[in-house]
Amino acid sequence: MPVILVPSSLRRYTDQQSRVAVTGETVAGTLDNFVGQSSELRNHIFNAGNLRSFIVVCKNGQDIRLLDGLATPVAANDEIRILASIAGG
Amino acid sequence: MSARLTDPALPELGAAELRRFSRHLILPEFGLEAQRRLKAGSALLIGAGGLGSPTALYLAAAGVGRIGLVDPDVVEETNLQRQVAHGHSTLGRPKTESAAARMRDLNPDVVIERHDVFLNVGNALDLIAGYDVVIDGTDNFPTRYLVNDACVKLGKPNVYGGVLRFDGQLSVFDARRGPCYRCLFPEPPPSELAPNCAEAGVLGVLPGVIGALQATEAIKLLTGIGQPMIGRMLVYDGLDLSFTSVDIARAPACPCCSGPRDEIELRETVMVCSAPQVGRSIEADALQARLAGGEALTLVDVRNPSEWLGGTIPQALCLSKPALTEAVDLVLSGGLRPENTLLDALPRDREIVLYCQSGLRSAAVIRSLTAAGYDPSLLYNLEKGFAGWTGPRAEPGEARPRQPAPAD
Repeated sequence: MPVILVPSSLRRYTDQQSRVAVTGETVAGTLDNFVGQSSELRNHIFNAGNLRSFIVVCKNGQDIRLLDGLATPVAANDEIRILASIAGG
Repeated sequence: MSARLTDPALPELGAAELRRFSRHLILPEFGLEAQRRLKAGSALLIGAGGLGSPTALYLAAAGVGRIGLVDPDVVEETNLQRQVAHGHSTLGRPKTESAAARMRDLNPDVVIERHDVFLNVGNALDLIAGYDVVIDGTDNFPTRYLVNDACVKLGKPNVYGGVLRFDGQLSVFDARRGPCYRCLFPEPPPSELAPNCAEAGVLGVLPGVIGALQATEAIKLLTGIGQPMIGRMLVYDGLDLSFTSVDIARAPACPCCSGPRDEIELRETVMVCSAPQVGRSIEADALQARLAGGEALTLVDVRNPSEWLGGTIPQALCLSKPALTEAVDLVLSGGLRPENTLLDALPRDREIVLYCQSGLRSAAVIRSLTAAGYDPSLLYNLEKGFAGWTGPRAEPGEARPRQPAPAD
């Protein structure tokens, strides 16, 4: 099953888990299953169906914008990493 | 950049410098020429806090010729958990002064230029233009976007580092050779989704890890050795202790770097709250007067237990936002009746004043409570949160946080 790698700023939605296995055949599908029923988590990642402007998603270490975006196919062993911008210094 | 200087133009090293930097000079990839390039080079550190502390110390120690420090703040006790360029002896002193003293102690030859100012639209270009490399160690989104835009306009490399909780990020944004910060993150999060270190916390050593890596990248840029992190971002997870490099893309329609550089106009980034305002708000003075008058209102501190221990308002009931949000979710899903959850402590027919550190988290709790059927006209958010509270405080050790008795 593909695995979502969760940044610590979003782990309050995942019982502090850093890796969450979800089903899905595309990046969009896996993210949709990842956010599931949590409207707060969905709102944190998506805005009107698009990735928010402070969220970057990578498949196996590559920004999905270098691939096919949210339509990028996902296989069983793939890792989907969510990057959220952080400003602390 | 100084790396383009020809050999004869590079400054010579004296006998003392040859001794001081001997461990650099024996590195075959580094050697005398790279050390001379460092001496000829300059770096501007935006922020002399968590990230800026290790960066300032290591760049001074490494022999960078001229280092600028931009920071308007003074050293506070809460800084010392991670801002290791400062110390007890410099509490209350400007951070640039405090850091400069430590840097001079490491390397008396370094030229240090202090800028005790906020970087803003009016001064950013003038400040940044005078240096070869910029190091972004700020603690807020508006300054990060300003640093990015000014660096793109001036054609300067921006060594970016960001930290929060246990996570760190590092990249080199150089729009001449790869993506800029806005290619990756075109706009900042709305303020309710953008906690800072004061609200979300930061492991003290984390900026040490990322700041040391920023210093590494700055040294590479100034000397021309190695492969800078352009087009890549290093993602550090301190809990798993993992370092991962991801390839990041230049955005063809980037709002900053996709057009001609000289047409870039610096503008102030304003953090906006996108969540609808629900409920009412109350100023600290008004709340203080009502509490002093003995009014029967319920006061709730929704911050985390660790924050309660640092002081709270004496009358407050301490119920953290995660605990309240979970209770609301349980009630809304039909799993539990309200009286069997923490919500039992919150009367539905009386006024409730909620607060967190800044007002963001308590606003979110008010939205949750309203969804759970509370009358928003009875729910108040304390303006500016505990940070803006000037009334009596239960200081650490004076009082235990009040919590409701566990349900049977």
